[in-house]
Amino acid sequence: MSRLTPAKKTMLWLQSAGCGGCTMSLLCAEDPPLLDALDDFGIDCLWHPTISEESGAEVVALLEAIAEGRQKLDILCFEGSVVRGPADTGGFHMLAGTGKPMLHWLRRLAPKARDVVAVGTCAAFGGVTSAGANPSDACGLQYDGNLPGGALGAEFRSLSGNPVINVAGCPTHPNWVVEALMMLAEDGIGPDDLDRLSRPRFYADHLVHHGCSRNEYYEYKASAHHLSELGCMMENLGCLGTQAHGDCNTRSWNGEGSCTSGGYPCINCTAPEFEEPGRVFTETPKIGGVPIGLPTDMPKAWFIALASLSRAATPERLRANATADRIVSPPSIKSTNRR
Amino acid sequence: MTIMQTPNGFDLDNGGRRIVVDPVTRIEGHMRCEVNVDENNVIRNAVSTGTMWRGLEVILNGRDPRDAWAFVERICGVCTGCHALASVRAAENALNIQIPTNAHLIREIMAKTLQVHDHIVHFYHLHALDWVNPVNALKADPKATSELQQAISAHPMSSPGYFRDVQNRLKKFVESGELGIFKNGYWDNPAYKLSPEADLMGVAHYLEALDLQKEVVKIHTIFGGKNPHPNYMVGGVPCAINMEGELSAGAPVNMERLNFVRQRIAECIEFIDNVYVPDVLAIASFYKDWLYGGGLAATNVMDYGAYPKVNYDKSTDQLPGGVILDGNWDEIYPVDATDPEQIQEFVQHSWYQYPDEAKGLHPWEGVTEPSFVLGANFKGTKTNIQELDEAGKYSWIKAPRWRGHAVEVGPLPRYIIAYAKKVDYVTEQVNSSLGAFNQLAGTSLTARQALPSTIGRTLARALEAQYCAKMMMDDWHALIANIKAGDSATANVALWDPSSWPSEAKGVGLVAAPRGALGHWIKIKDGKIENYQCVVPTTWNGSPRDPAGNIGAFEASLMNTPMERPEEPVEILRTLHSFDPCLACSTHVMSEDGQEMAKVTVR
Repeated sequence: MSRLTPAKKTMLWLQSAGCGGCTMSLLCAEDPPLLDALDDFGIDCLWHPTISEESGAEVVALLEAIAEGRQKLDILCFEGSVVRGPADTGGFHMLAGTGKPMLHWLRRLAPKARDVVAVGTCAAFGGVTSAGANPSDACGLQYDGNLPGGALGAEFRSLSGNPVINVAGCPTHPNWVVEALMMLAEDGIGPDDLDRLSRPRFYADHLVHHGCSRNEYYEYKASAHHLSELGCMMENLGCLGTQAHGDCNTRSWNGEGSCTSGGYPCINCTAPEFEEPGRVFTETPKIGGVPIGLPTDMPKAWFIALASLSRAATPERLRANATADRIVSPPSIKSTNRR
Repeated sequence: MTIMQTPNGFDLDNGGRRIVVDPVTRIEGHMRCEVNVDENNVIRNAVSTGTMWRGLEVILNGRDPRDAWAFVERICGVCTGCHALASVRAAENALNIQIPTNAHLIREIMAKTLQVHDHIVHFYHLHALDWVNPVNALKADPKATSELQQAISAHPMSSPGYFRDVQNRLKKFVESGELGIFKNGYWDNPAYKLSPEADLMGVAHYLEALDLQKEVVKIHTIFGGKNPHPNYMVGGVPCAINMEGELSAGAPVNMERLNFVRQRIAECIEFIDNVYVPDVLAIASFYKDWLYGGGLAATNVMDYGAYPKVNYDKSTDQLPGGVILDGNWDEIYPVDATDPEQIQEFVQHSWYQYPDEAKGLHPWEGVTEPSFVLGANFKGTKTNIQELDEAGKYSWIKAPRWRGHAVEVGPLPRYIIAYAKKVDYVTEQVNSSLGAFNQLAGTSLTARQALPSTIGRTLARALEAQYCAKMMMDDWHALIANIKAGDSATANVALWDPSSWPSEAKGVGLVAAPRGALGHWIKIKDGKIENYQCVVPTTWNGSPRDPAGNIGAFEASLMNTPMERPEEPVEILRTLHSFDPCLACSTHVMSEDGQEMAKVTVR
């Protein structure tokens, strides 16, 4: 296959404190699949712990060459959170074969990379590894939960001038990663292409709510009370799709679905600290019957007004279907000669 | 130098040369292995270490048990779903929640999807290159490769042109260094024994499997919304079945989607029948003289039992559970995961502390308190260990034991138990594949000789994938029949509200995970998790020694294996990979590291 671009970019992939799920996810990238995408866009993968067979001293030599500027590195992908413990040494994760913490390698390599990509919410913000009492003192590359900083510091910029590019998601969507890599191959990502949390706007300017198959239920506040029911999950079941940044419902997962289409509320896994909602994932906290977390950009008064209006106007069909596990009341068929 | 005999029958000699493999590569997670070899380069002592800790159990304390699955599922993105399944089962067991038939069948399909996916990815992408030499494949004659392929199965992708194309792609990889995916193995090591044609066939299937695996996981997406990390719920599955509507909102499961699932299952069956199982047998026949690596599989094996035809009726398990001791296949002991005398975890050689480390603790009473202390005779520094001292603490993995016995878990133990219990399908599979192997290899090995070995472990995994794909199709038909009979329920929400729970409850959730017996033990108090312990397959297999001195399955499997070149630990990697180790899971999710940088040092 001929390359779309002659210019070769180099990529290095490191994994630290995560579950490996973002790599597994990436291996399921479609149209194009991962290997074709790298080939088409001229990205030379110097090393990836799952794809590569390369071992031992050669990898250490590669890392040294990058750190000393002898090997060009265009894209540094980092998966998993960075562990700083114990006592800021990073010693909870020594990069095997090197006798040095991953934290040390990250801080040496990141400034040499044209761009640094945090793959997944662990790498971006700390994620599940940093939940609870955060026993390993885990954080993201440039964020510690909501706080800018993290392992590299808020002021860090890679050679391109970009902050760390946060392709957040738990796991991250394979085609978000592929799209980011394609854009980087074309030098197509600048600071303006990232949102306030440094997530690529090509997916973060969308809400999970967009294209949700339950939109009609949402419009009429016809809500499910239990999982497995058909209604909107925002009002009772903790769904954060109206607040979560991501195009999961317009860019389907594995070509076939999404969390909400699969019947589970969105848990906002692209956001910092999603792992600590301060409540059960499947319960919407309310004050006076009004959800505390309102849809993004929706003034509270308008939400209350619209919700009560739409609740009053809820068609009986939606009211019945919302709490059923199958369509009990189908839409009526309108006459086609009275439009 | 010390020579000692372990209670489970191994003579350990820590003299000779010490070889350190750090990390063990192409596994999930972070693992180190040290062995001692004698003057003939035969392994006489083995020390396996999990080198990371993340402390997930600590993270779970105080949370709502209905959320636990979403956290523990993220222990591992490879065996995604099996921790979630164990977790919802543990909570349901504690709270006395029974799930509807559809939910059971959908969970079964999802679990077996994982088995098939995980086994295929393990064999082709993490393990095959211990046997297959891609550099040697460059020398293959595509026409002869085509003849080989057509001789061993009806796989349609078998033309000379196809293999020539694969060879050209491979040439490009190797020459350009691009991707480097086949770079830097020990490709000139005489431990590789396949013909160039068989190597080329293996490489072709490596690439085919990469494409197939992303189709397989779509089954998870249909039922669970996405993969990795599909969604589960306590009380059933969250996906509703809507068989009357078209593609109705919120009801992802309809006839069209179910047929999509059926097609994916059919593809799995075809690939496993035509490619995976024949490949394992063909490769095994080249290694017929390499029957090392049996270790504990020859004596002590365990599984909890899985895949009931009738949910909650263990007597209908299609892969029955039990324990075999001392290689006596005629006596199978029942396992009770709730019995405090049966399953216990020890920490005398693990970096944790107990009040009394001579004693084990049942997981319900389990304690996870890290204590990083090295044995008195370790070499190096705390941050740069050159040699561990296995007389002291030396691993982040605890040592689980069944009534004090070290046991092996995994597809091979499940197959040994099922074969010993004369499960029809398994007996037929083992006998016919053994027949094919003997014919290819010109040997006459029995199941007892062939199964407890590295090759047997790899074969059992392939056969289990085959069985799971078949059972999955059975589940699919059962699901259709149940829906046709008018049952569309997928969730039991009667006890969803915590106010309906007892103030104190405890439960256990058991799963046949891809790597072996998985158990989650939960204690719930006032609606919150009071204690949560996961005992995962790699904890059993990768366990360090226990206070009595029994060695675990990884260590046992390496004993007495001769190495061609100790500085190129192909044999160690081959046997350890045959377990499909998942250190991210076994260390309760400290860094999944996955680095493939084998630092091999010989001292």
